[in-house]
Amino acid sequence: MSPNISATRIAIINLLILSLLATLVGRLWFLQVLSGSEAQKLAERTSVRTVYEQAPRGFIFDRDGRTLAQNRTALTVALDVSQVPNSRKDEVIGNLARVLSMKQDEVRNIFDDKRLATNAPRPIALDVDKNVVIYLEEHADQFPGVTDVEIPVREYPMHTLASHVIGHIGEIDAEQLKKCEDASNHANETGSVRICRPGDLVGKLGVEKLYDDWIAGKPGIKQTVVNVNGDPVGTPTEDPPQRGWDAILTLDAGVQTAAETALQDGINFARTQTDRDTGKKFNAPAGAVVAIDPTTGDILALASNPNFDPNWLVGSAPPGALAALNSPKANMPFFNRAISEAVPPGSTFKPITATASWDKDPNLATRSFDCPPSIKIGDRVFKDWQPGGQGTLDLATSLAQSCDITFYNLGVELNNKSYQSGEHLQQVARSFGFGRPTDVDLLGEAAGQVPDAEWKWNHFSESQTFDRRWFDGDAANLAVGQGFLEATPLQLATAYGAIANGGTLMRPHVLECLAQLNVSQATNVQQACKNGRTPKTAREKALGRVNAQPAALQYILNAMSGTVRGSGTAADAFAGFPLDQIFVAGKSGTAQNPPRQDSSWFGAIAKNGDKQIVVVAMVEEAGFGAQIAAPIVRRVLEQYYGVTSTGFHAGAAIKG
Amino acid sequence: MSTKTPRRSAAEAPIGLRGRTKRSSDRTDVSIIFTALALLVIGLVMSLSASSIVSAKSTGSAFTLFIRQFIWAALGIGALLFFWRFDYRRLRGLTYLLVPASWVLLVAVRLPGIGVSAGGASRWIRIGSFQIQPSEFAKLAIIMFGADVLSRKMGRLDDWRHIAIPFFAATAITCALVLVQPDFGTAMIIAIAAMAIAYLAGSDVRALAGMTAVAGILAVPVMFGASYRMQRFFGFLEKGRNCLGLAYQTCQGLVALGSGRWFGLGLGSGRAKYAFLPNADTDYIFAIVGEETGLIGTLTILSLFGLLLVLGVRAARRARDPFGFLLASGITAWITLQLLINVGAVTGLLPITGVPMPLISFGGTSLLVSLAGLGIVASVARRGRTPARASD
Repeated sequence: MSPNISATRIAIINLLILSLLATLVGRLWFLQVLSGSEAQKLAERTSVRTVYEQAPRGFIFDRDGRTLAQNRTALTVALDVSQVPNSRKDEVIGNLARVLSMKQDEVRNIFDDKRLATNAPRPIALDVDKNVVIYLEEHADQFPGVTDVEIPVREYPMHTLASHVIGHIGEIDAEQLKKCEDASNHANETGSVRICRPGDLVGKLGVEKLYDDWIAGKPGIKQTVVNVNGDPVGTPTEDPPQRGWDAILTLDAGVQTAAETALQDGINFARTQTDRDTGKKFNAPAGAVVAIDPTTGDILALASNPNFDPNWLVGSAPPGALAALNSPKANMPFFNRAISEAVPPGSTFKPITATASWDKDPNLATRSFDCPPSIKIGDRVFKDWQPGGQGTLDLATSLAQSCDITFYNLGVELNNKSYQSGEHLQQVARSFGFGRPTDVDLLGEAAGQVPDAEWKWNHFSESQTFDRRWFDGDAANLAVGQGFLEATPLQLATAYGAIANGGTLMRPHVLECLAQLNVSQATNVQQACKNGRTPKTAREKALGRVNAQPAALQYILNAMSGTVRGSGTAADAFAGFPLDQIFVAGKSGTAQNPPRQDSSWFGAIAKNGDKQIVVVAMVEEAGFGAQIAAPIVRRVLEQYYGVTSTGFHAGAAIKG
Repeated sequence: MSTKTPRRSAAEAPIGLRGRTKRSSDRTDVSIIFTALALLVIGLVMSLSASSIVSAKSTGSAFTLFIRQFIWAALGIGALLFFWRFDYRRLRGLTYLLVPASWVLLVAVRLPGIGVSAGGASRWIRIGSFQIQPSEFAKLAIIMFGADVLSRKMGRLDDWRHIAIPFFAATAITCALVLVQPDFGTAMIIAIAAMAIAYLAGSDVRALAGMTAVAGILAVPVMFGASYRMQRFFGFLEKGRNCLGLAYQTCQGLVALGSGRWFGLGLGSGRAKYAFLPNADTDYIFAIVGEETGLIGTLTILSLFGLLLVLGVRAARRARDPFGFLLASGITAWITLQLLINVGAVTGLLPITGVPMPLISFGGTSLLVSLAGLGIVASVARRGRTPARASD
């Protein structure tokens, strides 16, 4: 060690640190004395406390202004956790659980929910009895921080009616919150920026979800300037909440009610009937009904069974009700079978086959067809539904009586590679909207499936048991709506709509418009729509022209009217219906979907002047279309046209 | 504690006999002990004031955090007195063990079940109901190691390789382990303290400058690698302009300091700790000192640290041997540097790096290790040469 070097160097470091200390002294003098008064003012200054208030949601109305969703106020017990001393937390939780008949853990979870603001009361229990609130007020010393408030609650006055269309609301989840935050710097379709906060109630299903940005409205923002002690200073600025838009639907609550009631009646009746194939009673676990206006695509009714009461999902469920909805026994009540379940449509597809054959054979209308008990295609025997066969028929009668043999033959004819590569039926089916979503403004729509040679080749590439090649038998199955063809009830209704309106495939939609109604006089909704908005997803829109000749569509429409009269399969189901005043064309279907029991289908087109409607009903594992689905459709038509009805009456047990 | 003049007994006879000259007028070691204790008492009072709100909010009692700090302080006083009486030269044998041991602890913070993470950093190890912070031990370990190695190599330190191996290599490893926690502030203090020891040991200035430049270049990507560090850096640049957002903590700290004026708002009357000022009981305790005791309080603390510096330098100059010289000056440099960096940040002159104020800030390990370090400095002073001989 060289002492001199060390002595010098330690002196240098010593001086350096001392001068830095001196700098700090100077800095402190400057901060605390010279500019201290400024800081004092700053310290007296204040911070801004922001409180959000969720806006009242818009209501939901049917096309005639009947209320499907509204808001009510619920007497609610709320707790401001910042008012509860730590030492009394357990005591308060215990007392609240006892008085409100809740589990301690339920109260504790709300108490400890970190996502909620600590300075605002958080709801503990909804719809509390008035006497309980009085008790709480009388024993305020036992319940520090507990208050009662009236908070808005969503209410669905028609309960289960159209639950799949209306949907329900619920607490915002992480995914929705993130989506909302990601969009926080640009305006959405409504023209304003959506503000979401944890704990917000947002749409979870149906119209409530799809049009949530409109219906939710804009939250109010109240900003209070508070001083260092947290006391408010001056007057708060208040940006009041803006009520959301009201959604006016195309649904007709009367038609919807008729559809749901008849569907339930049909299901109940089917369960009393014995399936001749299996020897057991029909399961009839579920079904769907769709009614649309073929000229506009307006959905007048859309029913799916089983359904649910959306009130149960917004805090008004009886004990155990929610668990019951989610149990396997409930058979997926939230699943919208009208748009999400693609199954073989059976004979209801035959009109499409007929239009495709019309292109290939200009003389189709004058041909006569043998309808023997069975024919052989390849090495397989294909049977008619009528064990004895149906003699010799023309095309119209083949449709009305649903002769399978005629359509097996037409399917095989269309499968000839020399004509449109043997794919004409598939092309026509796709032009009628099969195999792709209809683009309806509801979430979770299935695309269905139109099988062809390429599809089968790819689909069974791994299969050991299935032959990948496309045979005449596959074409015959397709021609009668069986085999690999899958369609939703809504797709079939859309396709029938094109037959009804002369060949335009209209996009179905449930929203008429969004408007801002005066709630107290929501009478003339059509007038309100003139001042309202129609989002892109709900506009009247042609998806395209179907690939069919107008003459063919006209012929088939007339032929289908034979189904409900004379020797038609549904003549019994429509007995007594005023067919002389109201034109009805229909087609029954008894769709095989092994290993399940046959499904019952019926589609109808009805016209009375300009008042037109297409109705499709489908009941799973319920047997004959003419027996179950046809009377359901009849009941809907009766409601729509104001025909006096005696309710659901099963039709004759005819399989076609 | 006892205020009696410590008696020296035969039981603690020194290793060498040269230092046993009578030092009736030189009480440097006792002065160090008293200065440290004075700062400790101020620190405890301020800790109680600053932590009461956080403590009440998180544990339900205003005293929970304080009691924990008080236990650490008691342990720290024990360490201070122990190392004061303990002959520092016996520490030499430990130095080779301490550095690898500190590395093991620094790695252990990452082990599940042992390490504890908070605020996005893994800096703590749980032992019973207490948490220790290995990076504080690492500081002292590196200084002791440097003092030992460099005092042996004195005279050969114009060759940069003697500086680098093993001392700077060991420092680099420690710094890297601390940086990944991440704890940029502590890594910086370790690096600067190591640099100071090497400088005082007589290292070639150009070699030191070269290695400092390399370390600085390596530090830049780390500095800007983490977004919060960027924010803090720019928050520091924008001080005073914006009290929300980036410079929030800086600004709230300045407001708290400034509202203290000459005499402060009175102990316990500060308002910044009511959730306005983040880390009021740890890195930002000096702002609470300023708010509650005014310029009088802040200058008192700075004066006491100035006194510690003077006393530490005196202890180093009079050290019996080069090891003692480097040990005392290294520890003194570390404590005063940490003070400068902390106060610099609170007063808005330096970026915020999350460095606690020695002896004052809340945090048990920091307190214990600082007091142990000052005990060692007192030990060096106690066994030093007389003032008269210091100039030769």
